[in-house]
Amino acid sequence: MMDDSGGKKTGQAPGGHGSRAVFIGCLGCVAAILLITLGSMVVFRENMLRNTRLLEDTGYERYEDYYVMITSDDDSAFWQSVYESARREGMEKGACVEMIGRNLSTGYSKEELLHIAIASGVDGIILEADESEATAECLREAWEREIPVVTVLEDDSQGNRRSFVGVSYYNLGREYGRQVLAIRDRKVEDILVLMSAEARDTSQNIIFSGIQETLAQEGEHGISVRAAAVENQGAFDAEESIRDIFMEEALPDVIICLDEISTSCAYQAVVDYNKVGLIDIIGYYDSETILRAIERNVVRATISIDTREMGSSCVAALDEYRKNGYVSEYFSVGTSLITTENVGAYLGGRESEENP
Amino acid sequence: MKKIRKHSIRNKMMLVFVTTTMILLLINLFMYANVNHMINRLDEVYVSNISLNELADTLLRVQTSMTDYLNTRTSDAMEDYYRNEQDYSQLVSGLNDQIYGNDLMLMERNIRHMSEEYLELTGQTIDAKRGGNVEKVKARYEKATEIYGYISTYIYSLNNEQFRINSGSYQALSISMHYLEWINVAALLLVGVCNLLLIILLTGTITSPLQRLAGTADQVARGNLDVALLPVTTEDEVGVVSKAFNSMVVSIRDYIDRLRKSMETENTMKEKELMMETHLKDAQIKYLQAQINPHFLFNTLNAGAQLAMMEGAERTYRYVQNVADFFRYNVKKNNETVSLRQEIALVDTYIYILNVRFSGDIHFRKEVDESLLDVQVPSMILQPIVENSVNYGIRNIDWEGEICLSVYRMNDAVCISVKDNGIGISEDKIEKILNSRLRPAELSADSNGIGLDNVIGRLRLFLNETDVISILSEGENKGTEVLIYIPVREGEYEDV
Repeated sequence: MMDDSGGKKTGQAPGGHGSRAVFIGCLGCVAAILLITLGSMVVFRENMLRNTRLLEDTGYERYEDYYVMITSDDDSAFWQSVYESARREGMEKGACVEMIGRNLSTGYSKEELLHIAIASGVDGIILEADESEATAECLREAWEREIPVVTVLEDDSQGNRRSFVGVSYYNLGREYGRQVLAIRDRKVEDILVLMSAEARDTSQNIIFSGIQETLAQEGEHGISVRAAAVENQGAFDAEESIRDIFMEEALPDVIICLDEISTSCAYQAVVDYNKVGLIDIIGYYDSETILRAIERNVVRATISIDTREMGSSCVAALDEYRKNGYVSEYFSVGTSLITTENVGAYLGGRESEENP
Repeated sequence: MKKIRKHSIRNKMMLVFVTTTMILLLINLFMYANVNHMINRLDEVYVSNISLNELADTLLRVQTSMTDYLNTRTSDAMEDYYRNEQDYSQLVSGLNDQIYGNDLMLMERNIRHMSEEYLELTGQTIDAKRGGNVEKVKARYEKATEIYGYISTYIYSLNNEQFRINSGSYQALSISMHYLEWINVAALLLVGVCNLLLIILLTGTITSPLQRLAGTADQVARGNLDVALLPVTTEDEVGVVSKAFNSMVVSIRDYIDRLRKSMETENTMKEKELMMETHLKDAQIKYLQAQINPHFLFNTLNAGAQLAMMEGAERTYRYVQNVADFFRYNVKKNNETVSLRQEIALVDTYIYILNVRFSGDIHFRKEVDESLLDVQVPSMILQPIVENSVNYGIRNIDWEGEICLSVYRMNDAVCISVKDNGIGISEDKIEKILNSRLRPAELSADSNGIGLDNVIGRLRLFLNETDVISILSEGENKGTEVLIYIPVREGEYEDV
């Protein structure tokens, strides 16, 4: 007998399943293509963003005021510290503080930088002044153009500035004198004060006389105080002229340094010429090198100026003047004495600042 | 999907081709856009340097043309100066004027402010020169040249700084470009593989029905018509061919079916014809048989018996009546179960008839346990045995023949014994009888047709046992005993 039910029962099943499988397969392929495209797009974007993120012009903060800072030695740790403090204070007060000339290919002198600052129409100048005529000329020009100038550490003798932020040099000199007198373990007869040769300012003289007066008042007449000029006009002059002192026959018992560079140089020279214990150094500023030297008993003491206070005071003075039209003529900045007894606290403080 | 099914193969192929091509095209476009974007970015990298260079060049031209004018005082030089001054102030106006916390932006701002100052000074210098004020010219020229120097240094430094940063950008972008190459190649390869899969799947929907059609057609060509019908999922050319093929297969099947049915009808007709013939013959036989109908015989014998009674022939009447009973039993009880009592009654009738025939030569004795007479047995089993005893046992003997029928109980069986004192039977013959191996020639033609063989067979079937009968003979002229054992089932004769 013929069985015609065979055809009916096999009629639809394979076709229906097959076409569904094909349909799903096609959808899968198209989905895969879309995924690949999107995936490659995402991967590429991510990659490009990662590579160029640092270079994108990310929105910089905008400021209202533009102050520049001009010092004799931008790279020294002392001025860096002052600048950093000024910059922070400026950010709080809506002002941008720049150490002008740092990014330039040419190293400009203080006067030239002053010219640039004036020509650039800045809103305020923080200046480590000196006694030179050129500087005074520039300050006059700034005064005429009503650009407020705040001198820092060194003042302009002619007073063409709005305010001065600094230390009392006479007190500084007295402190140096007291440190000399504090040396009890050996006899001190000859004291050498390292002074900047090009500086025509009076601050060094005030310090020098402060030292002399202190020694005189304390009745130590047998101690001779002399000054040595350290060339710091050129780039490496300071180091050379300090080494020259050590070549002389009569070596001093105590060397008093009035800036950071000469302190560091004197310290290194004492070590190099094997005069540790024979020559005491009373230094200036609290850089890492100087603090370590105190720890090793090579530098007896150092006088540190509060750079943070100094920087913030400069900006505060400019800000006050621009707001009110007048400002106090003098801002005093505190000093501190660092000796073997308390150097640990400073070093510890540094370390904890570096590794909070 | 349903729409796709309706399309022709050409359209489907077009669809596959267009789809995959479009996908590849789009991917390529996307990649081209990416590459283009990258190239544009690379182009932009040094734009700032180019514009700074332009600024420096223009500044130089301003300075040169001013110096030129101061030297020569020609109108050409002055024209040059004003043109350059115009260009420069235009360039400068594009520079940043805001104070941002970024060194480069501050430098740009300073360049702008110094340039404005510079242009003012140069203007004043030119004016002084035109006015013939030599002192002022000299002072302003010096001042302008000083600022020119500062601006140049600023532009140069800014350019350097920008170049450094731009080089970094360029490097980063070129690395990205390198990645982009790999990403493009990988994406293209993957998309290519996916496209290939897509093509395989889509062309599969076109070719697989064709393959199925080819396979089924091949089977049909080999003579297998009982193939499954092709599933028709598409409405394209293949679908049309598949449908046509299916209906062809169905029509061939129908045709063969019809052919087979007509042949079967023919056969049935022939069978019927033969049966008609057989029935005809059967009718003829039945007609002949009807002529010897036993009822006719009984009626005839009854009529004879009544005639004898009317004439007062008492013995004749009894004889004829017995003969009639004997035959009636024979006809009626064939293949039925009867009681032992009925069977013994038949034996009595038979012996009576024989004694009339042979003048009372047969001495028949019965020793029957009356309580066992209700046992059910197959009909026509005792009469053939007694007939055997008469025909083979005592017919041709010199002494007085005697047959003894006894029924008694032995253990769980009813035992029926038919014993004669005739010529006996050999062991050999007993074995043959019990195993149904007697040849027809050895059977007497005198019997009524039912032989021992038949009796034994029926007893065995009825009792469902083989050991139901035994034949005993002590030797020649010492008689024969046939014993039948009918097992009594549990409880059947408990009261006995």
